[in-house]
Amino acid sequence: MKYDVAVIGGGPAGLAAAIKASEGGASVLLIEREARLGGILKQCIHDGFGVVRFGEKLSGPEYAYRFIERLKAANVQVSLFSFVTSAVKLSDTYKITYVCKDGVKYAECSKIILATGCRERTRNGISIHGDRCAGVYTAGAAQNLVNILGVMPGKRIVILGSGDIGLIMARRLTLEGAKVVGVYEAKSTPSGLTRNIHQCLHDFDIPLYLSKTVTRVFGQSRLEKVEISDVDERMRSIAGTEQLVDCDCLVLAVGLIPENELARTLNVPLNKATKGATVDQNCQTLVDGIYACGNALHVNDLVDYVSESGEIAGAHVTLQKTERNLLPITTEGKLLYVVPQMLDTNSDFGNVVMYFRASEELTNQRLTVTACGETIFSKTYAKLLPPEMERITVDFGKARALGELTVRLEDK
Amino acid sequence: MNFDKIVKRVKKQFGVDVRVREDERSVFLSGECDNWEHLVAIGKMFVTEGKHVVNDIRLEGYAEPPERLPQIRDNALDGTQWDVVVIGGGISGCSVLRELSRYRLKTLLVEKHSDVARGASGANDGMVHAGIDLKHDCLKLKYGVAGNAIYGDVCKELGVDFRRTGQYVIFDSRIIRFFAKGTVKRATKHGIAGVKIIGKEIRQIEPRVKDFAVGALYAPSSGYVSPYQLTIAYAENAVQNGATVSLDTAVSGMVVENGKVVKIQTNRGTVSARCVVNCAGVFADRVAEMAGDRYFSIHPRRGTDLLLDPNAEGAPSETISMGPTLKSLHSNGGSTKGGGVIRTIDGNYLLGPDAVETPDREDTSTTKESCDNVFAKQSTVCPSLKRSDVIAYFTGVRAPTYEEDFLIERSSKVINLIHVAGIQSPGLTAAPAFCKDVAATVTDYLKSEGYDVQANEHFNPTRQRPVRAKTLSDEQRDALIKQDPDFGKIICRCEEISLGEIKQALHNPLGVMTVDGVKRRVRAGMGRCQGGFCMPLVTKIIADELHAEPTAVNKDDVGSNIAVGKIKEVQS
Repeated sequence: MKYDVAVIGGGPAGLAAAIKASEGGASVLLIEREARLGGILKQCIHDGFGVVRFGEKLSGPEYAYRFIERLKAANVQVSLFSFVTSAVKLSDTYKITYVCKDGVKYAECSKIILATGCRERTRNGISIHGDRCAGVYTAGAAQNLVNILGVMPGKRIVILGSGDIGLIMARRLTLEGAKVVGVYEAKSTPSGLTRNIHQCLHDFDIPLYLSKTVTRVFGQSRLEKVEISDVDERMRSIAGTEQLVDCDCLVLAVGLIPENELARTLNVPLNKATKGATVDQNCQTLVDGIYACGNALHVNDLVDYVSESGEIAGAHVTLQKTERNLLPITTEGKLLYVVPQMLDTNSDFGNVVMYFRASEELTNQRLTVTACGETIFSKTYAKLLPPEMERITVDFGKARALGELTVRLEDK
Repeated sequence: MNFDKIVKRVKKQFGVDVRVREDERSVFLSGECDNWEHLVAIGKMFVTEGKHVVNDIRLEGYAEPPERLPQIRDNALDGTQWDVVVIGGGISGCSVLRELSRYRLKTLLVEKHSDVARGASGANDGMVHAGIDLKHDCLKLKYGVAGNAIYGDVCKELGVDFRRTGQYVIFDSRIIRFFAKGTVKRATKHGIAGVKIIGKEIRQIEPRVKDFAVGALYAPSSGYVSPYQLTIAYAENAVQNGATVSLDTAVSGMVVENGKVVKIQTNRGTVSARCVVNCAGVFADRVAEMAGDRYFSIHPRRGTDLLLDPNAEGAPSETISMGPTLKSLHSNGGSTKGGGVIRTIDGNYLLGPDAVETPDREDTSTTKESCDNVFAKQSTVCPSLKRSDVIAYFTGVRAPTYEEDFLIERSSKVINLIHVAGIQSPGLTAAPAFCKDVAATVTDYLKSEGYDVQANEHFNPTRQRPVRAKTLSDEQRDALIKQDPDFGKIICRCEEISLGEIKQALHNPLGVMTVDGVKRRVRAGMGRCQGGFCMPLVTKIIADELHAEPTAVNKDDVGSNIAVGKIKEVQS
């Protein structure tokens, strides 16, 4: 089958991209790996989704449902329980091979939107040593056990990581009958939103321990205890500070990594800071016709922005292919990253949505965007935290000349 | 023999008073020592031609942790009678069991874990060694070379992937390269074909070593295999040919009468056997002791390996290891042992292993020190390796004797007991060869006792290779899915494993229905996410196959439940 666009991944980014592309007149194939649309939202039964977009707090499935309903009305061919095994470039199009319960299928499309989401960092990724017992799970796996399978990963639980995922799992497990003995965080400040600290920990008397991490796990068949160590300012464990905590389950909420296996096979250059593709303001990667959005592009903290980047990609795929003129956007100062990393001056650059994260906790900062030394955007921030992604809209049309583009973060 | 000189040397070097006793088979040591490495070193000092060392020197202040035993207690096996009982489901036990299934014998293999290949056979680097570093006149050499020669055929029969890739031992000095000529000569004498020294062209063959390599020793017969998949395949083929495997079954004692083991006690009942094969790995000396036949000691030695992402950018294209350097010659006599950088059969890169003596036979926990050491060591031969590409690490415990050779023989004291002990590297390489001799020893013994051993006319050496949908052509895969749609439903995204493949693994002849059992058979959960996505799905699939709740599903051994109860029903 031939399509204008193939969207790979039916989570919030892919749904938004497919709807937008279809509304723009493109014929769209949406390929989803699982049996149902919605991605990880399916198991996020807590609320707080959609505050930016809908002005109300929805649960994950409710948020997904709003898009799935719109998708039904759109001209999108959806293929569920379908797994892309390869995507290769032909002369002017891409050939996608995927498997599903009906066999091996092929689709030809002129553009691809990668909305493949992210995966969780594992115990090996953060060098936890010790036994290979049952009871050590990533937060997503634990959430699936509780919310989808309806079973408890443990009774006495230690959570490592105070990001929103860790906090929400602390509350969730408590509500279902477990004792969460503590949330441990290697950083000196909590990583999650303040409201989640209150609603998920304080309201349930769950202690939060900062500057501590799990260094070792013990247990023969099931987890029996974990070793907790203090960490220094560079987050290395300090010998001699070990203490043992009895528990039968360790939940790891220690970070997300964009999934870019398919991008890699398509030779899409990836960015070291985001671990996602390098893109222009239209979410187009450095490979013409291939777009990346959502958490595959960079890990977002709000689903609203995941959908937004999907829509940016979905809107642009409907336009005629044009020769691009890419200018790099460089960063200066304490910035972890800025997305997009490129500006295509041959397409619209009037209202460019940009996302950034500070590289450390900062107060009284000024962010400026300059073009050839001329400031075209400036904003001050009383406080910036690495876990909280910031979003700005920059009108590059204001610039007298588009040459060297820089985003700078500095003390006010 | 007079050991006075050694006793004095021990006293001088380690301050330990060692008492020595001797019989016709062994040298028995006793005393006390406060350092495990010293204790092992002392044991090695008493190794003498023709005798085994039994090291009973106690480690002061150390209480050995109780053996990990299955949580099951029943009478499933009670009163059963067997021609042969094999103790231990590692590569040794499983290969011997399969070899015995060529005969019309009633054979039972007992394994204390919930699956086979749970000890060293499941936690090693999978190298099929050429044998270039082996000493003359030892069983390691005899069976290592013989095993290597038949590896391709055995793996083909058993439906297991095996790749003969060759191996390069890298030299960074011309002097070492010169001395390697001796190794080539010795290898040729030992019947290891094709071993040669190459010069600086190694820099073209493997650009990762271009900055320092002056040459390499090339051994073309090295290769690699998945050690646990081969072990599983041996066990499955044995069962398909009529053998019995009883998992979760630990031997707790034996009854010996008139120099023969007559009864074996387990947590699942007492069985009787005409002949017993001890393949108990790190517990081989304990099993011998149960039969009153303790004449060798096992000193457990940990080895840690690191697994890297298949896409690791800094990894080499060939299997390489660092040869002796002038510095290492100085410090340890130039032992070439010590792992390398390997591309595993599944496409991952693997670094390791190290070697750490340990008193705890079952301590497979990983440590930061070992991981750091392995990475630092293997980085010398491949400096472009990146730590961030490490996706997993694991530790296995080797089971060497003090003689550091295989001990494969029928006991002279307990005549129906055959020991297959001290199996360490190159045990995986050697098993296809020594299992034949062990089986012959069994049948010879049974015949000598007047028992009629006949060939199993139904024996089928071929084990069907499990379907791996990913490796099929599009046409084949499409046809497979049309036949069974489950092969089109991908469950493990990292390794591209379908529901059909997982179900196929769950219908294994051994009846293993655990999350890790699936992982070992089809790799679901072995990729980048390490099961983060598919573990709950696999748990549900197993529960459905068992017609049970997900709470009944174990990660591995009985008691390692993935979940502890239903939501709202647990009490904290």
